[in-house]
Amino acid sequence: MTRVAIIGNSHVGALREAESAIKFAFPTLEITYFALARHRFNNAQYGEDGFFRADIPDEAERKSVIEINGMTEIDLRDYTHILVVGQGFLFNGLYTLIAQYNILGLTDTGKAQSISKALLRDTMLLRIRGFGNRIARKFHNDPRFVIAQKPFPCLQPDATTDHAATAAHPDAAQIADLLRTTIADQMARHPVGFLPAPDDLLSGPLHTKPEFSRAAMLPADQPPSPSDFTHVNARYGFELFKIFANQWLGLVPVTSPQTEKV
Amino acid sequence: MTARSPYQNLPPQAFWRSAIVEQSEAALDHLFVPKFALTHETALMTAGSCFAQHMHRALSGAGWNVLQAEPMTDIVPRKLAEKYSYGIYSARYGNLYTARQFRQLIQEALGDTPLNLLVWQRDGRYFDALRPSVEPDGYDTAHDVKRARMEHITAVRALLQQAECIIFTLGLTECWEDAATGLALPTAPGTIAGDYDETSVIFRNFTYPEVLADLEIARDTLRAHGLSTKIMLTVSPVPLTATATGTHIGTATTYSKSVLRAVCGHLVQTDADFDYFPSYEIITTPVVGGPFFAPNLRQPSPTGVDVVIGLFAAAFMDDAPAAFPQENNEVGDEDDVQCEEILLEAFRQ
Repeated sequence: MTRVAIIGNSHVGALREAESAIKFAFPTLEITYFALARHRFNNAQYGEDGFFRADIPDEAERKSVIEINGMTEIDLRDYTHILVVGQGFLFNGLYTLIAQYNILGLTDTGKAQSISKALLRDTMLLRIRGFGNRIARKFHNDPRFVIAQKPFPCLQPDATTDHAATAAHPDAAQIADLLRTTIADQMARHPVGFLPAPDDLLSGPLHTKPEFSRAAMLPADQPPSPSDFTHVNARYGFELFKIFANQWLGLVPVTSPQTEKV
Repeated sequence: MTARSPYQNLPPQAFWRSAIVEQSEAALDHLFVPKFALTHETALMTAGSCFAQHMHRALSGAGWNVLQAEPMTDIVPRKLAEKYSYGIYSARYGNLYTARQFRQLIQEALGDTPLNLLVWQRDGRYFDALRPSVEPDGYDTAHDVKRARMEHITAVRALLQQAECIIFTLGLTECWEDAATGLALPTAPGTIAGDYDETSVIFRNFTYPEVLADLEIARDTLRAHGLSTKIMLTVSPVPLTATATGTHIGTATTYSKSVLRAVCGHLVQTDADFDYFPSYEIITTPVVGGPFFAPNLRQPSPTGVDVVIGLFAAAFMDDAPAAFPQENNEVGDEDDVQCEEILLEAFRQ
């Protein structure tokens, strides 16, 4: 059996929900899931002893972590690969920048103040490079780790977020290209692997297809919250894992995902 | 009968021994006696030569109301924002080394007719010749330069309308003018962008009457638009990096600084709208324990900047920090100022 750990923040949920489908499609794999709240995950340490652990002083939170994971730390020494999901690469700040300023050289969005494309590019580079350096260091530049980009939010009706403004930018495709190449270039500098948000799962430059949102899976009588559009469902989780398994483990699913309910 | 002398009953600040050698505190109190009041609430605009960046940073950091007409979100790291000339002055005009540039900017911002757009090129990129350093790699197109300049001038107009006092640091008398338009340039073409062609630019070394006239016209322009802004002048203590006069850099520096300082002296004595803060004297002479230069003997040391700001604050505030030199690690890397003149040195190599 090949042992794979899937660790990360709340975005682990989509893969966890796809657990049975993944198990069915990749029977040679033994998979462990380990999720922490985003702030805890960001502060958690991968120690020299091979354990990934967070300092959780609050007893109630510790109980909650144990309830989710069955443990508060994970021993990663014996895993062939560790897929680290839900990593945002500081995109939110970039969305804010794009939402606040007109970008010279792109279509005018009517903002009072403009910035140059060069400044946008440099800011993007600095933030993404910084994030990439930190996460590679966090996992000791160990090539067993594969860092998966957080999914782009799904289209949410009447959203007023900076992401929504960026996705609605007339040149969103150009912005998305810049993000894509910057993140790929920067992560290629590290021994850790990198799994981008898959193009096939996108409906537009910066949106994940609506059928992959958590909102799409809710019962008709349950109104979705904003996080149901920023988080994806088990179908996305399965698709993401499938790409990971193919690229890093050389595996293809033994059955089509359509034949296994996820 | 004892002989009488006009120096007989003068206060300590009038004598080198008591004021400088003995560093009398009573004398120090008279180094700068403001003509007009400033408080932490006074809306300040900063502009000028490289040294003005120190003034801007220190005053902003000390809680003075330093205006920012072209703000940059803190999503952009500070060093990067500064590389693009955000937050180094009250707007993105870059360094205004000469009184002519200062006058020109005010006239453009408050005038009805925009100046001719001067665009320089380098490696297929486009630069605003009146502030070529604000976009280190230039813009994609000349149209972008135009759009950025229009926004900038709109921002400067709003800034001038809001400012109660402009702190302007004079740096140079030497200047290159565009031959076709007569516009004063911050740097010679070919330094940051553009190509040097001796028929397209004219070298000027402004005289005392010219500098005086530029500052008075700048002030008159403000008044003509109903603005009662005061102007606090300083002279940059930073020597010239290079001179195009054909003379020795030492004498060229003395000429520049002398003319600028003399103009300040005249305006302080004769014109209620102008005052002068002696940062030049504080950094370059022993008046407050200096001179305060970094090891390159050109840039002011961090201690010197602290003393300048301390004395500035002390002149206006009852609870100002001590003006005398404090312990300082003298590491200037984090707070390097942007100065096109440094490029001249690079070109010399």
